[in-house]
Amino acid sequence: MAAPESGDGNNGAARMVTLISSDNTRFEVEAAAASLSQTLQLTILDGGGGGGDGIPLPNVDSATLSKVLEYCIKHAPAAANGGAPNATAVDRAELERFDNEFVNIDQSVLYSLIMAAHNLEIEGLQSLVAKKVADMIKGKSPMEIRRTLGFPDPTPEEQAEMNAHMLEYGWAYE
Amino acid sequence: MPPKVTKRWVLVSRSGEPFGSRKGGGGRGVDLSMDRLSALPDALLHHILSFMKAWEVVRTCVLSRRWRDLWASAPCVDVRVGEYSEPPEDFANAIKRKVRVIQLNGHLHESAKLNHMDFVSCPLKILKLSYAELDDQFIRGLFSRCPSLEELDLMRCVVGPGEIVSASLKTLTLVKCMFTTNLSVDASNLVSVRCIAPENWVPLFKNFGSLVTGSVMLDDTLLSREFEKYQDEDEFPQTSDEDDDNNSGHFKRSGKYAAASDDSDDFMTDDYGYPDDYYDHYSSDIKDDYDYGSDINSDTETYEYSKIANVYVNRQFINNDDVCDGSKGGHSGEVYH
Repeated sequence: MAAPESGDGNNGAARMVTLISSDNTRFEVEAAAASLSQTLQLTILDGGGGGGDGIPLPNVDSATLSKVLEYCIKHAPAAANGGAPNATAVDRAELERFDNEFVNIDQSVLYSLIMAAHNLEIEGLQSLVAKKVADMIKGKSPMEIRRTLGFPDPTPEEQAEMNAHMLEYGWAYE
Repeated sequence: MPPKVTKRWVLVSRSGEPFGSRKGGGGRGVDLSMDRLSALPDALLHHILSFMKAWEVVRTCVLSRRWRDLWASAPCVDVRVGEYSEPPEDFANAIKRKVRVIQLNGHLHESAKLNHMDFVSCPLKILKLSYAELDDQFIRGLFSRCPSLEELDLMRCVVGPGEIVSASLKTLTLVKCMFTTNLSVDASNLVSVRCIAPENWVPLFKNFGSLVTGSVMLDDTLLSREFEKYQDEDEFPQTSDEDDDNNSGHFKRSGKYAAASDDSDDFMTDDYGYPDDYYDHYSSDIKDDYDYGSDINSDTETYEYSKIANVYVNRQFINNDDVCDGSKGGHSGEVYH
């Protein structure tokens, strides 16, 4: 591949960049997709990540990174349209369907994803996962919340604290 | 430039199995998940909490001290008030904590009384109230002490005499509110107005210089005789309605403004005739728009935003039954007569 053409964002469509996960796996991806990350966008605009260089991402392991890139690749065309004002209803529905399925995953993967989205500054992904986690907590009793999130059953001490709290905030528990 | 490194992230990533490994075993990984969620930075947890109502957030306080602190520092509060609690206190606390978004839902049978409230100055940006009673002191305090207020959303509220004078207000939504006298609204930067089925009196709008989208829906069965005189004085452009065949005894009028005629049309023809609890869904969720990628600062985008909101409302009406069922006896599932 030719040396990266820096400076001109419009060449992004064809241009590829390489990302290197914390466990040294290399991912080659279109610059446009990687640029959904505000953090990476700066590096890419500076001409980084092309050829044999690669951009190291010491905070993101390969499993998480492949998931992140799956999201970026799917959302890149819409993002390139500036938030997709021209997108058809079909496109939007398709993205929505993708999003719903995308976050239908293990909790531990969700937490890795939201952390990666935060570090890489991918707003859409961060919101998507945050909403999903909120949905997991919503409408549950305190014990259900604890169980859902994998907290162990409360110790007697914690139970007493819980009771005191529920007394104080009775309106939240009716 | 490599992405910024946070210590937490690094620590967590070493604490066990590799990230994102999809464990096929279906094992719960109980301790692992707990560490993971609580290990997220405050900003992320606040983001998560911002999608929840206050009472849902409060329940997370049972998890640990960390979560109690998160609740105490949340920039966004969504207060749902029970029949016997003290709403003004919660509300006043929220104001003191300088939150930017407050949603307060009173109870169906006993509205939250926000009378005689003292405001301290507050960076409040979005305020959504339902089943609340506001007196003139509240209205005055709100608009004099909250100079950043951009969005006011009142649903089924009792609104006392008063005058809204604001240079910051951009979106005003009044759904099924009862006005004890005519409220006057003078907000020069108002971009979007919805006034749906006001009772007793209709608000008087003084300044529509910036308006992009407006929907006004009047329902004569809910108006007192006094209304008659307003029919002539009303300053909205009127259009007769084409397809008003399904609601005998009702009539509609629409205020249409150039760029938004499609929107207001859609809003009314699609939504009119829904059961009353529709309105409860109508403004029941604010969190998705809060502060993350919000378009609220731009006039042109606010129009886009209102379009999206309309779509969102419709979708929510169809899909959100599960959320409302989960709200444990809130007013949202009940029909108001």
